[in-house]
Amino acid sequence: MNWFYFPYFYLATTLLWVIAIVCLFFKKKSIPGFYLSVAGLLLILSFTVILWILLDRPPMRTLGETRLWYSVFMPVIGIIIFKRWNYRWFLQYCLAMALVFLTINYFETETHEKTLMPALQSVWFVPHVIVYILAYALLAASSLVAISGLYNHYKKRIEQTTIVLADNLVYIGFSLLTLGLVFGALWAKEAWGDYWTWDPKETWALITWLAYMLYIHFRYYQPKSQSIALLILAISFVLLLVCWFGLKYLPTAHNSVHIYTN
Amino acid sequence: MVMWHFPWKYKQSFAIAAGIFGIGNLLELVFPFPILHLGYPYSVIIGLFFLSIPFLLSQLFKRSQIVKWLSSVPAAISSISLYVVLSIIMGFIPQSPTYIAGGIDFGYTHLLLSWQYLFIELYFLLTLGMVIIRRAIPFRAGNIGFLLNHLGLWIVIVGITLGVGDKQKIMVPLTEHQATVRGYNEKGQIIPLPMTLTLKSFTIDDYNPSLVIVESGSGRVVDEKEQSRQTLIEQGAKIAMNGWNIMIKHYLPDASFVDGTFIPFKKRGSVPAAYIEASNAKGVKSKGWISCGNSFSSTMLLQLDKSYYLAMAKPLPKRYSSTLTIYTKDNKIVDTTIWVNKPFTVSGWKLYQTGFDEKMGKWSNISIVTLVRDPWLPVIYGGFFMLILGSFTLFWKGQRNHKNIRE
Repeated sequence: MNWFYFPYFYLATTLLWVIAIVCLFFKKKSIPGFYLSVAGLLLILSFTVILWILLDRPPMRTLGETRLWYSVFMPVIGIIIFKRWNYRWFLQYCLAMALVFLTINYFETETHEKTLMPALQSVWFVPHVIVYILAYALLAASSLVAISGLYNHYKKRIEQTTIVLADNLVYIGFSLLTLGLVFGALWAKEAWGDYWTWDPKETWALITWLAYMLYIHFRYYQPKSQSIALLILAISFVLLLVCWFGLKYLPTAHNSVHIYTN
Repeated sequence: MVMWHFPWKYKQSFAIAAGIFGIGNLLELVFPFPILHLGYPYSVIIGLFFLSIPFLLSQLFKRSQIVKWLSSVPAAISSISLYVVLSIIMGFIPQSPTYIAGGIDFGYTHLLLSWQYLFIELYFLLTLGMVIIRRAIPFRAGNIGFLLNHLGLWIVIVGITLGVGDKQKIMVPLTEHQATVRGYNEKGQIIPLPMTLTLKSFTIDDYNPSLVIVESGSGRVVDEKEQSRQTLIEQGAKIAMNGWNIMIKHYLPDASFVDGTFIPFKKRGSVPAAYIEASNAKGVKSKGWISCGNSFSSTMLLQLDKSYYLAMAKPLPKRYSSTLTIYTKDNKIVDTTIWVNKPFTVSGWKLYQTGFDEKMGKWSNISIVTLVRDPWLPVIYGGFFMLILGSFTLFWKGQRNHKNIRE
């Protein structure tokens, strides 16, 4: 039945996460908030696993399916960061983002096909897509940290931990982006005989990668000027969004092998 | 000029980057010239040149402020920024695959062949090369992560750039049971093959076709959103769809329409067909054949009621594969089957399944195979491998690499 059960999982997860978000507003209630987040995550994770089994192929082909993964990974990141640094707002944000993506899927179910075109039938398919989705989730989180940091900077509040958190997210996100690019190149070589063809998606993935590379170098050299670093981070995320969603609106988009249609 | 006092920082770095970009634009305007990709032995000579320049500069001019600047972070940041600018131009302006003469567009429609790209790549490789030498000599174990990432990237860029000149690509249209000795290169010129190829057979495996409901009159496919799934036709399947109970009594993947019915027919011109029995809660019943049709036979629908028909969507390809016999120059005879994502390597060449006669579809007796020779492959894979290892070190060590943490 594929996506048939989605509404049940969606509603149950939403309920758990909304309560979790409310709990996380209160310091004393953060433990139940944490466990509710985990429970919701397990639910949506099991739906993903069931979908994978029923579809008989990795559910990573359509935008709807990548949104589903995004809503699995965001809470994972939120939960880990919460455990490590005790940022309640961060977990709330991750849960809210995941809910937004689930809600889009709830109202806009796409065609969920069982078929997988020949070019996608490769051992590289799963690692390539998984590392990218995870990287995007982490970098999206880092951009939120950047915005909150810029706000604090504007309010003349200095918080060293903010930028340390941003750094950690970017380092992990960037290394995953690197893996995604390399896996993509290796896959392209195996499928078509070329590593890199300057397909618009590739070009924008390169731009994104270079932008985060700039952030890392800037931070390394001038750890003191935080506001510029945070600004680079915010701009990088805009570029990432172009790569992810905006591509099909660009004049270069036609002929891209990465434009997904239903 | 006060600005150019050493040490050079951001201001000077960005001024130099802008200068490089400006000169590139100017050259492209007054002296448009497609940047050539030279093959062996020039590619190796250029590679050695690339390799030795940072080494020589850093060893011969150890005290030079310019050498120090070239390996500095501001220089790196300016060169990365310049690469970003160029990539963004390529991200917005569609790139022409061939060289167009005339410099009015500043080369922005074919940036990969432009002066700007050449200069930027050289600047990027120089700053990258200089910092690699600085961290590599003297060698310290703590720099391994740094070197994997930076040297890996340097090798990949050099390998891919120089590899273009030595890479050979031959498109070969093969006809079943015919020996082929020629193909076409990317310019469309006829090229003798480094081997003889015979296509023993070309096969397309399809997915089962899917079942759809069509609105009569408009012909609109009842949105699959409403069903939120794809229903593949399978022998004996019972399917509930839009209030109808549908039973697939027979499914013939290869059939032919003879005397008002479909019979199994496994030859050229066959078409998938299914015999359906459908009923709804109101007791309305309908049965008959459906078929998606092809260029030899027409589409067949089953009327459900006044407003809806049941139809079969064209099957989607699962795999197309070519079974080949290869006669190599050194008198080896090899049999193999290739398909997309499963190329075959023989005597330094890799054979890729590229296409087929799409008009004939499943009954195509023509298969298009691409032969690729890429002698720089081990170099580039070496770079990729270093980048993969490097990204793991980045992942684990992460932020602890930072100056401010160390201080």
